[in-house]
Amino acid sequence: MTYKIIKCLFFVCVFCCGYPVKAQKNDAPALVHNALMVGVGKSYEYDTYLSPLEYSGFGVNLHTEWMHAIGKPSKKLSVYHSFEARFSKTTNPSKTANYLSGGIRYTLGYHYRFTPLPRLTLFAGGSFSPYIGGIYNDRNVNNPANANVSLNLNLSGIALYQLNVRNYPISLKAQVDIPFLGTLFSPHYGQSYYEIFGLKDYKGIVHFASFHNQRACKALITADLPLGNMTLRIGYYGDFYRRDVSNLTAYSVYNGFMIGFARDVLSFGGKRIKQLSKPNSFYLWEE
Amino acid sequence: MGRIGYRWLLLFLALMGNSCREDEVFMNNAQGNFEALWTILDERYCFFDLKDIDWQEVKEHYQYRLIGITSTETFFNLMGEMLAELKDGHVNLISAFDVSRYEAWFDDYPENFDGKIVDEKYLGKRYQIAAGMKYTIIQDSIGYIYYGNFSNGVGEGNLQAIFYKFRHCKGLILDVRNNGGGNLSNVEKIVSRFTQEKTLVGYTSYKTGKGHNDFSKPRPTYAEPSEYEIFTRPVVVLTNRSCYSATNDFVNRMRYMPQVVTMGDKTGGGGGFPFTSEIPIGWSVRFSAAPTYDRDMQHIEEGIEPDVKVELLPEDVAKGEDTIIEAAIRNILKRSEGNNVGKRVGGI
Repeated sequence: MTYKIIKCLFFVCVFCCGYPVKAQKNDAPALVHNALMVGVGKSYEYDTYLSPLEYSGFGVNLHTEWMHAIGKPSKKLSVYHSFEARFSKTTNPSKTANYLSGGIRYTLGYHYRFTPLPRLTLFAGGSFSPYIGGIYNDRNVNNPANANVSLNLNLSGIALYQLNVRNYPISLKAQVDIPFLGTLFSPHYGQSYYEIFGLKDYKGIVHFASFHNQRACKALITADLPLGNMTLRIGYYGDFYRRDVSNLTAYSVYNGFMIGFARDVLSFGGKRIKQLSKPNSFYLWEE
Repeated sequence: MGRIGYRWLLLFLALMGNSCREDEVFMNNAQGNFEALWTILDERYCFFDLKDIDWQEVKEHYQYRLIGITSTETFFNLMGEMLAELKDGHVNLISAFDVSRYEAWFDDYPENFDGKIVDEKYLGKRYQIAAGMKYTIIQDSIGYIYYGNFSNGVGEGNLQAIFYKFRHCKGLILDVRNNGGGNLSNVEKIVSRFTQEKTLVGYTSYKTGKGHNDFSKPRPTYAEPSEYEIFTRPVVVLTNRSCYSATNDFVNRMRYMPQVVTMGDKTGGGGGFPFTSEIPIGWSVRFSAAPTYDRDMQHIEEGIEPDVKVELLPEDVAKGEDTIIEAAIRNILKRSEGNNVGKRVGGI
């Protein structure tokens, strides 16, 4: 069953990755919205494979994203890529042990764009996100670490609102991704990693994931502030994850403040340079 | 978002699914730490049935004694006493000021090892050391290795050098007495040098849930031959009650090799793969989490009897001799006479 789900997700991924190439084959170059942000925040980690206690501490993260329109002629569809990396150091309540945790996530999303109000643009769609990470306890002996690996399809939504404060344009953006279907890795309740990798006992360690055993939400709220020739982006990043598998519970909560820069870049190359006419910003869209 | 805020979010995330189970939270006081410790063992310890321990009764007994606790140290001692009810050398409570332990598995038995005699009479002053193994050629062209800790990393290069030294020896004595264990990867690597063909050496299992009998189906464990030279001449593995944990596993694997005879005293045991957890006060607790079995599906938690039982005799000690090594020498010479490397040929 799990194998079939992984196979299905793989084909969805391949289909998704192939789509923009076809759609853009004859397009004029479009502006690609790009942002790069770094952040710091408060982190909470809990993993009963390692400890029954909740650890808390600080974390740092990196978030970069690209977004551009696809499809002709209306360009109602958009493609979104993001890459995130996060690292946290947390301690138990009595400060006698530490967790080092972190992971990286790539997200590929497709959204349908509609404009219910003049300054408000909404994007609704789905995304696909593989995540690989882990958590390490600096005191445990034979169970010092646990991997956090998942592959999810997410419900995804973005809201953009253009604000003008005394002729000072501010772009507000809120984005939410909620996984609803996927697979995740978890060792069995008392299974060691020596048992898994040393003795090659891989049976039952990959699980079908949905709301019954995995609840997660990624939220990003930002404001773009023009600053000279640049656009400063500040925002809040929230990453919440919980899984209940094999009688083991793990959750991770991260709330961070982020700062970085956003920009629109012209993406063209090869023969497409000849087709350059009038590029239009996708992010600050004008009908 | 504050601490309260994210807890609401977690609750929301829990309600999104079928489960709204909230995990048990233990307070950082005597009662909370006692309950956390008892629960961790109750849910994760793997030998309750083997040792016929009524853990609920233990809880009631120590709950009653908790009333008189007045200091952190007396609480630690009481909890250490509770853990000793498990009679398991792999169970420890570890604080900044002490480590609780159960040592009756070797304290209550003769030691059957005298390091001074081994150093002076057998290793001498010209022995070599590789990967923590002290090795030399003793009388009658017999190789001798003393390996006191499986935590000392062993490389193929180390083993190559050792076996090259023993290339003309009639046999080998591998002394793992007083070896309290270490890494299983070292065990596998050394055993592979004595494994002539893929050999079933036991089974492993692990807990799949919180019930005392929630175990996975036992999975066979095999010893695989090394891709380098295999030592096929007579081998005697020397054991005593202080052979524990990974060493116990080593002895279990080695006894199934046709050229190997185990000799000395019963091993100390320690057939549970230990995991670590912790309680709110910040002390860590180590416990046996996954059982291992021999190839007849018998637990090895309580030790392994040697093929040939030999004890260190006081009169030999007085002469500066190790009764067990001398018996091993005779065993190897006897077996190498007819070039028959089979087990128990000739005996001692």
